[in-house]
Amino acid sequence: MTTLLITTWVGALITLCCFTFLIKDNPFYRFAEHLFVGVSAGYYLSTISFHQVLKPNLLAKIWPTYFASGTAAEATPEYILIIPGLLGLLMLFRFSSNLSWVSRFTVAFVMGVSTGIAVVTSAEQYLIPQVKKAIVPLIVSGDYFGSFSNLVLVVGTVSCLFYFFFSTEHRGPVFGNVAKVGIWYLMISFGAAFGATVMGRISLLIGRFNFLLSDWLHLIK
Amino acid sequence: MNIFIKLKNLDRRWVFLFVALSVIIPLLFPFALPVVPTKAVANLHKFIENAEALPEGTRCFLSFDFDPASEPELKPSAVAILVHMFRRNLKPICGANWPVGGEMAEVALVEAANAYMSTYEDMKAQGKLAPGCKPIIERGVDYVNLGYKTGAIIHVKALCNDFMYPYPQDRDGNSTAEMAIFRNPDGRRFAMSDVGLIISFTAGTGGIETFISMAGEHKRPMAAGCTSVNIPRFTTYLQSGQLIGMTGGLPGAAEYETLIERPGKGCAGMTPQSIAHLVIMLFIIFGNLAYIAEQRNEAKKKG
Repeated sequence: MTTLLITTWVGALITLCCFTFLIKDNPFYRFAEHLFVGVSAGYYLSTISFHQVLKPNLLAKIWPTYFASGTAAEATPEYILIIPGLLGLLMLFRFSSNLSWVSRFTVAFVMGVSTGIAVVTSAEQYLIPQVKKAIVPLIVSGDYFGSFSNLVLVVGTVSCLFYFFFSTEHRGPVFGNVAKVGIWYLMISFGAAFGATVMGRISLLIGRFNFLLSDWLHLIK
Repeated sequence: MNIFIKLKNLDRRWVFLFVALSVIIPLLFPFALPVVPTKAVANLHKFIENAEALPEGTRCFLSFDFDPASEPELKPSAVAILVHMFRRNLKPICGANWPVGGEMAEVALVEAANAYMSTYEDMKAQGKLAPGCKPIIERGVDYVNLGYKTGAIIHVKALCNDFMYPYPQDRDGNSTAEMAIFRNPDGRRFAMSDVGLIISFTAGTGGIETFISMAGEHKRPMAAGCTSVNIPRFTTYLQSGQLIGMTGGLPGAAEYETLIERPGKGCAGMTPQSIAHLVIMLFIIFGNLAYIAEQRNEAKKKG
């Protein structure tokens, strides 16, 4: 109960410190900002990186008797994992200006694996399904809304692609007008994105005021 | 006209004050506004409700790919979906692609489990629970929180083959190999193919898109709970049929809460959200009128 009370008060005071930035930059805001950076880094390194990743996925598999629990403690040690462990340690060479090149072996390995997977999956799961969905009939018999919707989709796809085709100048009756339609589509999508962003930010504000008014001040249930 | 020009030079702190009041006043003096579920939210609810698609006891993977910065937007929908799953006797397996996602999952699981257990008798009397529902649900049997794992796409690829290898322990350090929730009747290792539905609560990159990337391998139905900012981006996956449903931001959570008849923070947030939107719209309109008035004044001066 006492811990909950302390955490609620700390949370409320830090929230108010952050809100003071709306008036102008001040030491209270900077205190909250620096505290957040420090706590996040410490928490990420100890609780998350060590206890949720490094310990169960590396140490417990190389030295199960020391780090694993349950039946996993009796498992055969997987010494092959020493190799990725060493690759991870190579990253620490980035702190040395003379030997930072050593860390490139690890970066190269990660880049190679990630690119290999991403190339296949990007085409398979992003490009092809989206292109496939854009190939639709312009006239759907008996469904006026469906026909209109498909027309909007096809015109939007073509005109936006046209707008991003920079090898030809956007002038003339065809190039110029189609690119202009593309700009309109882009503007509408930016408007939708802006509206969604405002909605998101207001939701976050509601979350904070909910916390202040209910958990801290108990003014609402 | 002059009043609009004066408004253009209004100190931005007045705008902050008005927006703050538009949120605080409806929170202090609440009144209900109707919440109408959209097709994307209704489809997700329908899929979870469907006993043929997800028979009782089906395990579902819920990835908490957000941090406290997006918690007010995503936690309400996560809690609502978890409560619905418990009522349907589905078994949520929670993981995370974001470092603090495990902590976010823990908070949502505790709230949803308490909400389910405290209303068990009432819901049972109303006949709104699946036949196999129990009054008390247990960690490791009915649900589990596996915590965070690094790797994103590579991590999801590993889950497609074997859950136990990337997750030998749950978030609290308990061995997953002994947990009943991961036991297959035929003794096979638990993999993504044993999951009935994948849902990612996504705040940015490394969320539902990592699961979509690996869809060719796991071939499981997917849904998303996303922040409002991501709604336009993820709608394309809804249109292409890659996602079966989606809850977008706090309104999405309110819609899901309405569908499961359990008003929570999503529904409570809809009145301040609507009033704040109205205030912002008024400021945008006044700002534009002020801009037009100023342009006219300048034209008059030149003319």
